[in-house]
Amino acid sequence: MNQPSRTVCSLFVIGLGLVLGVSSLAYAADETYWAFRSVSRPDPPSLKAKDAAPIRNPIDSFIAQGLEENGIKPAPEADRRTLIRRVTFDLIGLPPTPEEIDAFLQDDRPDAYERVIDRLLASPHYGERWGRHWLDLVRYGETHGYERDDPKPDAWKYRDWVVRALNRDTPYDQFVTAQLAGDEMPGASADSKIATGMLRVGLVDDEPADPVMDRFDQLDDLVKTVGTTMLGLTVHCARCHDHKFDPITQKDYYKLLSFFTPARRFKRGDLDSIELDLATDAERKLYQERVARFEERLRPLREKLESIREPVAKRLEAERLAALDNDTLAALQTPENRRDSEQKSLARKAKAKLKVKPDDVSARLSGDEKKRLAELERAIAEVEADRPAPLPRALAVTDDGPSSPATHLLIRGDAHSPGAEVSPGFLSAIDSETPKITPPEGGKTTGRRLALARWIVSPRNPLTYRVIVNRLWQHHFGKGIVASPSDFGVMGEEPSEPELLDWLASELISNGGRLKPIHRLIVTSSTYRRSLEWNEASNEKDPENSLWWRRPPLRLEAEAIRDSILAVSGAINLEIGGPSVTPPIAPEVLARQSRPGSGWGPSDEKSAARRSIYVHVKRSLPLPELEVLDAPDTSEPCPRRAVTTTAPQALTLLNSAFLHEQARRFAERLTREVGDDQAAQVERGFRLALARSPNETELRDSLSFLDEQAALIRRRPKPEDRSAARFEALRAFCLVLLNCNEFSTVD
Amino acid sequence: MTPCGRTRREFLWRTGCGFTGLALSALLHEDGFRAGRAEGAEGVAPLAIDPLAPKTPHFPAKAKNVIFLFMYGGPSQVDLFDPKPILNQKNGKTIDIEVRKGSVAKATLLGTPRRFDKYGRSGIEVSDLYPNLARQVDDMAIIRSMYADSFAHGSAIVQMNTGSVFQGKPCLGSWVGYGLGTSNRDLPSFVVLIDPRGGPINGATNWSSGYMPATYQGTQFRTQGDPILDLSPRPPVTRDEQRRQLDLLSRLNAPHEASRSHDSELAARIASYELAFRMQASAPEAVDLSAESAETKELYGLNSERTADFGRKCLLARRLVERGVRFIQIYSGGGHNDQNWDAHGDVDKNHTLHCEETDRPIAALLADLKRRGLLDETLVVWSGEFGRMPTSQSAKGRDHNPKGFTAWLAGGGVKGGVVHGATDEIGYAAADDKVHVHDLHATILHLLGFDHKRLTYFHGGRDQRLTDVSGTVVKKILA
Repeated sequence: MNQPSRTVCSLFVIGLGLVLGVSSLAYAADETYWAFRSVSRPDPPSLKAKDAAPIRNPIDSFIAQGLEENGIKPAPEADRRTLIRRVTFDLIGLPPTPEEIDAFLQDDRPDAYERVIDRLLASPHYGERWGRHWLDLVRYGETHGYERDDPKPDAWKYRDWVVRALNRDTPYDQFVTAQLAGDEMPGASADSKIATGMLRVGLVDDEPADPVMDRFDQLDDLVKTVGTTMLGLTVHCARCHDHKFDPITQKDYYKLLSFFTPARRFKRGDLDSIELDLATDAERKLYQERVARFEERLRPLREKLESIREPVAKRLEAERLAALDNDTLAALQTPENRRDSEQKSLARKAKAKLKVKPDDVSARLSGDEKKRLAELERAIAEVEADRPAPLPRALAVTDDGPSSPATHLLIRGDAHSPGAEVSPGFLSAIDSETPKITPPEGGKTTGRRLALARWIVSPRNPLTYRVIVNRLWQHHFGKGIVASPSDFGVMGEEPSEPELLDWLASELISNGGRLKPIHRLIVTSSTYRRSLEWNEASNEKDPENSLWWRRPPLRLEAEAIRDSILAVSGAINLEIGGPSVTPPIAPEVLARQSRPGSGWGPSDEKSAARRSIYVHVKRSLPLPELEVLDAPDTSEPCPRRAVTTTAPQALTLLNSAFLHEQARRFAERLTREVGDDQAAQVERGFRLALARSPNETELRDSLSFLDEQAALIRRRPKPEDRSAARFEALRAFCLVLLNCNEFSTVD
Repeated sequence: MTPCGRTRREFLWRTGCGFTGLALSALLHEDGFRAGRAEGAEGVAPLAIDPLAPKTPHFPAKAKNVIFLFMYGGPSQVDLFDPKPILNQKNGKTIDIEVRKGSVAKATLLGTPRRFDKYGRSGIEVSDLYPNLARQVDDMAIIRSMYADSFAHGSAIVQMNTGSVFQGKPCLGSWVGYGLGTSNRDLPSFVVLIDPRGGPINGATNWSSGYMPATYQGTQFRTQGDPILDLSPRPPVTRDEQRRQLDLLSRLNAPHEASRSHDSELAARIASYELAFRMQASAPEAVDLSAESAETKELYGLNSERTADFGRKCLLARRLVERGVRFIQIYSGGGHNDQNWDAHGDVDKNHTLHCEETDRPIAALLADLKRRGLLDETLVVWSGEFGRMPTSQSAKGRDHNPKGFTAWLAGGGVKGGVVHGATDEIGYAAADDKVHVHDLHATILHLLGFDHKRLTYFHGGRDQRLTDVSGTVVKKILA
């Protein structure tokens, strides 16, 4: 358990590898590198001595063994109030309400805690919370990025799919397969096609500096996203040369890349290149019939309309043509590709002049004709109201047919230096077999991505299930069993509890890939329920808490902080799913855009108060209150959020329009719920924001603050009257509560 | 912005749950706190390192601060700093020219209507669009052989700022903050001043810290009103009221922190509120130009409508340098088309406007820094994301051209009065002593005391550099 010396040793090995130019020295030393060994099913250890914490499930056995071996005494269980706050944030990303806390505190049934867990796992907000974690990994954005930063059509449908799939507890193998090959998997549906949006939500340069290179940059984005997210390997480091540390050859990289070669390529201005029609054949047939019927109704009306307009329009055009000068006429008669720049300009102007507008025609019509025209237009409008709604579409991926263009290894990663042709293949260090690839029935795709998905989700794949259970652990404990969640290679961290990691992975495989039972195991364990209690002796032996002897306080993520503010103020709109919303952004921030305000028409108040997962992810314009609190950059997968502490965060949480408004809503809520009694307001404010009542000192401090603050407000240059000052003081108190360390930290 | 992919070394650097949770903890015991090496992420730096603590670079250097004057849109080299008599002789001739990567078209050569004269002891030629700035040539090193990789604004501007044509990398200012830390806690280490007509294309991506923590991203300053977003209490809330709010906050935080004293992120967060409160006084003081003399204001052109805005920004940049801000980026031009240097329609008309706006203020900045003894330690850089074609577009305009353009540097260890490199005879492509954007970045880092190959940040499985796998210091322009 000696972390530093192990690290020094690995660094030495890496150094040696660099010196000798050997790429896989660390792997050669062992027979098989730990992460490439098959997932084992270790028996939970039976323990000799009983430690302070009860063994509630095998997680505790594995952990207790490590603690026992190192003579570390774990922290006692946290109190119930701490537990319900912790587990509510962990599972749904929202604070528990005072009523939920009371109900739990008063529930003396032995399974009261488990009942809370079941309620939370069944909540539709579970998918929002854990969906957000997944969106970080797949670099989810709703615009292409770069100069134009155009919106990606229907990207939000993919976000909703993730939320839904997690809420349904879709088995992880299906979850992954749909995202890689939802268009070609057996039983492909509208839903599974939406899932392939994962392959489209990254950065897209719509005007690349080098279009040939760009093709490979786009494919590299997929290799990187799939490699790090699903396999926990930095496969992308082998783009230009063999991986410097892991046994991944450059050929492996291009073999993996070739699974995506046949996927349709983004084409600027062509939505069909990135969208799929979601309708079934039957739906499409029905739709076509409806469109035909609709056109049938419309055609005679249009024909009648044209019979009135067309002769007049023709006459007008002829008159205008006759009025043009000779140069212009000559320009128009010159074929377009042979016009010089002056002629081009003349032709452009002439075309504008010749264009007959509806108003020009109307001006020439008789009163009677005008009347008939108006009647027809009304009739057309009536029919138009019945126009069949277009078939649903989604941002998605499919192949351009059953065969694929060739994939070449690129010498030094340069798209202009193609080397030998490669065919699809898996990572040779794990599986040297040649994939069996057959185009699915119907022959619309190559079947390549489906073959890749099947290999990834195979229970024999040593990485997939270890990687995902480690991510669950990470989000519950703040740190994974493998602390480098997207790098299980030699540059990453070794698992601090390898047997526990394998046991969890094997448990996931044997339960059919369902994540909710794994969550349940984790959060019901004694290990999870520990308090923050510090122990100097334990810290001495395990300063990094690799043995999980205590719980560290964790700062909430940006989204959970914003959502909590909305929840506590009472403004939150808990509607689920649908197109993204654009809460107001300060004009100073919009001024950074080259077209201030573009792509961000502010949503109404109700929509603006939706959970943060529904805030439009515009790559060039992150919502400031999320950005400042370390929301991820969407250029690349983000397996682990930064936790920074900066003065701009304090300024945002004290002075932004958002906080100012939410503090007002919070104060109004307190007045509404408990009336004008200040002590009651303070009590309720604490319970809503901090999940507890104030102690005597806090109550006293808060009450004297309210008085002082009201007095100051009454001395403003434009003083408020007594009741307004009281309210403003309460608002200031609410603002302070929302800024407390305790508010944004989970014990 | 994120520590994504952060692995072994970073865990050594900052173990526990959050990597820079201690961002401000050094504030609590600033005395005696000295951070480790600039490449803190290399793994040997002490735990609990403060990401913005002042750091010592690899070797002693003159430049301590950088003012980057970004001429957004792409200024035309042949109309400003790169005289081409042969281009003028061939005016009107049709040639084949690469107008976008791999695409060659016929185009007509367009000479410049501007007059070039020799200035200073060095006798360097500058066009009459920059009459005031031209008098400072003896302090400038003009690189006439710049080149970059993209014909499009979006990726070219990202490259000039981050070295890469792809979004998501930290920009130069972030690397400087990462490498040097900051010497003034009450102000950000990296400040961005944008054009009143709008931000540059890609918006805030241009001052993003990419995969580094947000601590290193640029902070946008405004020259009027509140300099920093949300700096002041929202009116009508007064600073007195806010002081009392912070007092209550610290009373409520104290027992919570005391019972969790082993988790120092909480202490850092308490300190961040006090820093925020101090910034409410220090930031407005920095942008308050009322203490500047009438002569200084006149020098920077604050009394003329054309030059007042850019002049204010240049003067503010000097004040920020005096107050220890490491990296200041000023954008000339914003929004689209002729609101910036993107002169597709009429290059002379466009550049006349933008040169008038910037000529006097930039000349004043160099002169003012010099007379105050600040030019030696302040590196001034002038560049666009690319240059412009020697051929015409829409008769009088010029299209984008990354294959050859001009940038110049002054102060901070740069040799003055030199011209480095050359474009071909028509000013189209860099020909002699070519300087890629990576080379410019390597040179800037060198002037700040860094070996660009050793200033690394571990991310995504490898040690990343501002200069990726290339970059050569332009030694010939070093003093």
